[in-house]
Amino acid sequence: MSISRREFIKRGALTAGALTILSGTTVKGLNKKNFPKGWKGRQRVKEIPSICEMCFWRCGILGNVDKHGKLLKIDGNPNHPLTEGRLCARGNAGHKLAYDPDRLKYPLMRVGKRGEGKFKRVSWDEALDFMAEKLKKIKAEYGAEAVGFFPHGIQARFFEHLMKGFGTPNIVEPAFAQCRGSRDVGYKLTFGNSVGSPEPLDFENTDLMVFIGTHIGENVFTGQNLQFANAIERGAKLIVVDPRFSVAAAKADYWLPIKPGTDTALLLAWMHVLIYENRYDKEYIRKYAIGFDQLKKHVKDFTPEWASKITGLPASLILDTAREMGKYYPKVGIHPGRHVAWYGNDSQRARAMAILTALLGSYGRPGGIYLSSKIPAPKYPSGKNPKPGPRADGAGTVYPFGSRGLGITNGLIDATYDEDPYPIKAWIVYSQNVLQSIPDPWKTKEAIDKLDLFVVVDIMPMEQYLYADLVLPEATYLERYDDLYTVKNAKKPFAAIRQPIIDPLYEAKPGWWIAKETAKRLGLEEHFQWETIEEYLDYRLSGLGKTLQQVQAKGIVVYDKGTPYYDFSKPIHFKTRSGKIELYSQTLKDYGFDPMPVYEPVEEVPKGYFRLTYGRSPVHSFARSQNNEILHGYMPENELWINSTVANQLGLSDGEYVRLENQDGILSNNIRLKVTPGIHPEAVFMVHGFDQKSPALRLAYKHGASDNYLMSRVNIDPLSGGTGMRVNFVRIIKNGQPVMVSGAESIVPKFKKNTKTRTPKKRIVVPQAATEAGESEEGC
Amino acid sequence: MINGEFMGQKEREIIYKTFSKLCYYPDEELAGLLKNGVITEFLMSLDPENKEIQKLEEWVDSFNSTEKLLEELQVEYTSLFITNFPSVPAPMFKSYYFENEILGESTEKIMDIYEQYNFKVSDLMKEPADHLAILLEFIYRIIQIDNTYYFQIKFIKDEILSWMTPFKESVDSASTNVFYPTTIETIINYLKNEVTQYETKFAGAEL
Repeated sequence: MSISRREFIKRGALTAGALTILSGTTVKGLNKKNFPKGWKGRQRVKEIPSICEMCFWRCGILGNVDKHGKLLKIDGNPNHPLTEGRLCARGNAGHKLAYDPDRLKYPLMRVGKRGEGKFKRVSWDEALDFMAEKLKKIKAEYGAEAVGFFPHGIQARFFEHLMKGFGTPNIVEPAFAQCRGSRDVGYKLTFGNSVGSPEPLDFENTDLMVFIGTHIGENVFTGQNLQFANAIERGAKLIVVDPRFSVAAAKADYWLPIKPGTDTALLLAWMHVLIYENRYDKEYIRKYAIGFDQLKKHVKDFTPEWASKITGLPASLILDTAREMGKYYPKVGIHPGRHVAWYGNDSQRARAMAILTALLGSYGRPGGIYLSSKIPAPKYPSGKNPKPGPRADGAGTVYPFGSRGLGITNGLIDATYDEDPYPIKAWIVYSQNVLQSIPDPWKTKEAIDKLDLFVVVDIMPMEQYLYADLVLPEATYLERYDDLYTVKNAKKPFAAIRQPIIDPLYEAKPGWWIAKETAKRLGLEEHFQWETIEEYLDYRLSGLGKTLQQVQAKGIVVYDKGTPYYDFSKPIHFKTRSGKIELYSQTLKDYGFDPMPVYEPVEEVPKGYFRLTYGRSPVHSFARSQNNEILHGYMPENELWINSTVANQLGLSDGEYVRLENQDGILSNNIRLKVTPGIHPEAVFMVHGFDQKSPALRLAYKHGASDNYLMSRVNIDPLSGGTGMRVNFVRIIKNGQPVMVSGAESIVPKFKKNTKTRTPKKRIVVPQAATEAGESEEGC
Repeated sequence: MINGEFMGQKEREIIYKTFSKLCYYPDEELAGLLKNGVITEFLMSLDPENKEIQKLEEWVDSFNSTEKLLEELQVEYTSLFITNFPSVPAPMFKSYYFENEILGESTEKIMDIYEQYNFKVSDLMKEPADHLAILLEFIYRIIQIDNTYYFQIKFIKDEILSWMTPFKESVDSASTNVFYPTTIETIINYLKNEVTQYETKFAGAEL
């Protein structure tokens, strides 16, 4: 381009033009509402219902918007059947995600080395053309299966359809292997159904709730919290098994501060008491279960005294709590748990919980576990997907009961790292945070190094974006339509829409748009047989007899199908191999596993060390909310819970900062001590998700300590492929020196020799049908 | 000229429109104008004493093609105003410095002002209303409508100069070349000069 100063002046400088003349009059207030101070006279002109995404529970929200299109405030949607207008701190702080100055604003293309964080802003056309060309090249050279897709949430579903159309089988979510996969395997093997979301515990009718590691009140789903609080108020009893005095434990009639890793022993002892004291539901078991005789024989020696020696719990407490269950059955709600990837024996522990539920006759009955329902929304109108090649993550092969629907993240990372069973050349990470949610982030980084293409689709610049070749800014949940959200695990199942409350800021785009535009460039338009997202949602809602326009005002369609329990006047068929509840699993036996749960001791905590445990906070979600200004204000950093007796012995004080060193010599960031009698002496505990490594997250960067970065080891559950993560040990480092009891030594030399504690060797395959149903629900 | 009298209406329009353009993401047009010396000449005409403009000229000359210059400008713009590692960039919108958020109260106030003058930010524009480029463009548009200074000077002081100090500090500390420090400095100096000229001319008048 050549232009002289004369021409420059004559032309009136350069092309620009952000401002347009307003047409019409200014918008008047439509629905006056008094807002609290700090709103500076801003008035709501619109109130738009949608669903939250500050965590995966997707509560109903109402977005209050002013005349400039600014979201002023978020309220709960009173039409939401589970939350009834309530909203947690995270939901209330959602606008700070949309208006976070650190959010990703434009497509970015890497211009420096991976990890250097040097980018160039590019247009969407440039970005998507680049991605499509790379994907085509990789497919031509290595096959479609060389592309791995890491999605999370309903917003990623459209891209998932695209990836299936592209032909890759390697679609993996941490919701399975890092969260609830083992639970679903255990329940499915027992009852024929996985548990699903939210956990269908019949709080409304239960007389006794049993939580094993479940920390409702800290792990907050507003609907479940509400049901839990109502149950407590109604007088339902509560047993909490947890090495930590959790919020739930504080409400409990019985708190069992169990030695970490010994839960299966407790469960077997409870079964022993119920069976040998004849306190189980004989009629239910006789009619609907198989394998009782084998189970009775199996648990014969698992007395409370036996379990007491293992768990550290008094035998009398084990006995009393078992008798309480025997007293209240079938109205006993054993919460199946959610994040259960603890020790690598987790599917069998989940089996034990399911079997206990069966003994109490609580499955499919009021007060126990209710049944999920189908919602008649038509399925995605996709073109025919190509037959995918073999999976690389081991789901259904190395890990025979691993989900082919959700996949095994760590399996795909291993495959990428080892280039076994074949090279993986591209990853598209969509709304996942692979470096903070999947253990051994160093290995993940090394796997990324082996890729020809690494694409990150996200809202915030999490650490992984530093390594990306291409960064695509996704619109927040407040700025987009998503797929219809259907909730089958509700007394009255329902569907909810997500719709834009505000326009997308900067150049962020919704997931459906990104997927559809990418499909055009890949020649896969047949997988997007709809012109507009509104048309697609009309189609999905048609099964419920509604249109999008009809649902937009309330945001919710309730589908009332009757009671969610078994009708015992009719024959009942469980979706297991035998058609009955399988206390004894021939399927497991056939594939070389224990047909009934066995207590397997976990590695003892080395002297001078602690078992690292972790959990949730009510004001943060995973590792994704720490940069939110309001939530950061509530909880800017995490704390390390340590037993007060142990702390006194070691000379450690409440509130002082220490670091942690794990068994492999990895050091954490500084973390403040919370000295409390409310934790088992062998364990320390921290809330997950802190110490963000991306400096682009100005508030969250280097605040607190990261549990994930201390997880350099995992025990893989051989059934599911889930990563048992509570197998890491840490010692306290204060002022650069280890703080240990007398005679204790570093275990780093010992552990460095063994990088993996258990690697399954068997490559066996179970029929696809055994692992498919009910696995497509996302979230963790 | 920065230390001179007020420019004429047409000149001020060009100046503000060019300032605005300099603050958007660099495109071929900008790179071309920079490469053939138009931009440096423009900056020099406003601030002839600024030695940095000479350095800018030399820096531009070190590129043997407009394409390479454009690439460098785009990477620099991205790292200064959008994202960077390990240092944090200098966002180019007011509410970051006042409310630490996008579309903060100060943005809404600016949108109110636009509305009073019957403007709104185009739906095609993806930057927030308080982005420096849009603020400068607004002055250019206002000059066209009503070339009286009172409102313009107040807008410059309240909505632009009020956050230029921390903004410029961030630009200066994170820049890897002379383009944005020089450009931003020239813009700030020009704006300050207009304010000074006005306040001198109308001494005692309350803004």
